[in-house]
Amino acid sequence: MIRGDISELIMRLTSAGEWEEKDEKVLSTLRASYKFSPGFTERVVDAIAAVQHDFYNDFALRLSSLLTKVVVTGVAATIILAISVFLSGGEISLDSLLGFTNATDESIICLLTGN
Amino acid sequence: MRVLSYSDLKDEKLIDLSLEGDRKAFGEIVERYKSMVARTVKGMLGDVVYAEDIGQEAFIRLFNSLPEFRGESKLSTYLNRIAINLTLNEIKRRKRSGSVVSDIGYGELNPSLDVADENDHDRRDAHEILNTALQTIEPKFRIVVVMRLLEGYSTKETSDILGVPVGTVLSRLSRAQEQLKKILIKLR
Repeated sequence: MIRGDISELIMRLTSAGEWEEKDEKVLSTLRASYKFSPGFTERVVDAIAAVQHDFYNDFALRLSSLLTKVVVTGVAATIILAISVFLSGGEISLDSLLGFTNATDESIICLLTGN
Repeated sequence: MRVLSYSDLKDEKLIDLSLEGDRKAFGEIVERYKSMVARTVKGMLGDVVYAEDIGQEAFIRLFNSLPEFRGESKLSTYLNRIAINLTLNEIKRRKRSGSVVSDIGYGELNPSLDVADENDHDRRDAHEILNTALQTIEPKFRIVVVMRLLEGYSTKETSDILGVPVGTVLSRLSRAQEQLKKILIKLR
């Protein structure tokens, strides 16, 4: 199968229908010559596994970093609140930190209803 | 009772298994369609070293887009579209950067073709002639020849895959035919 066969195939490129049987024989030989090197499938599967591994590692790192930021911010906010409560009230307790100082039923109803 | 192997499974089942994280199932998809992708990519780019990377990238893109694959077209068609787009983008990218698109050197770049027996010698000859001729025509003409000649698609199927009217496919085939005829005469 050489130039003559290819030229014939090229001549019939524009025919809309199926290839003739003799063309198919030439074409199947030609098509078989296009291939990737051995081990291609394994390399693709390994590459996908590596990409997934990177994705999960990246996700875990981002999540860990986010959680650290949330914890640090929360601790800082609690310390600032404790200092401000101490400075304004002269004492510090769990109730004062949570805002329950002098909380009575009436004051809560007043707060909720506005009356 | 015969135990089903991955090669017995239909594409749909392999897709489901791949989505569940079964790597062997996706490996079977690669095994099933790697020749098709090789024909598209190497037919367009020639036997260049990076053709294999483009083929690999096509399968990785397919894997990543499997959750969105609704089965409206065949998996082979879907994958071929990905391979075509990647290949055309690579040609554009290399053209922009001024690097060589085709660097044919079969003996060293494609060891599978470096064989001595007569049949393989003929096959290599045909492969080299076609590749040399294909690399000299514009990518938009080259792709229709690859689809029609190497992938065996009809003009209608080619038009569907490339998203252009049948008339355009036919006119591009005709233009490609004229150019290839001239080139093949020069190659004599």
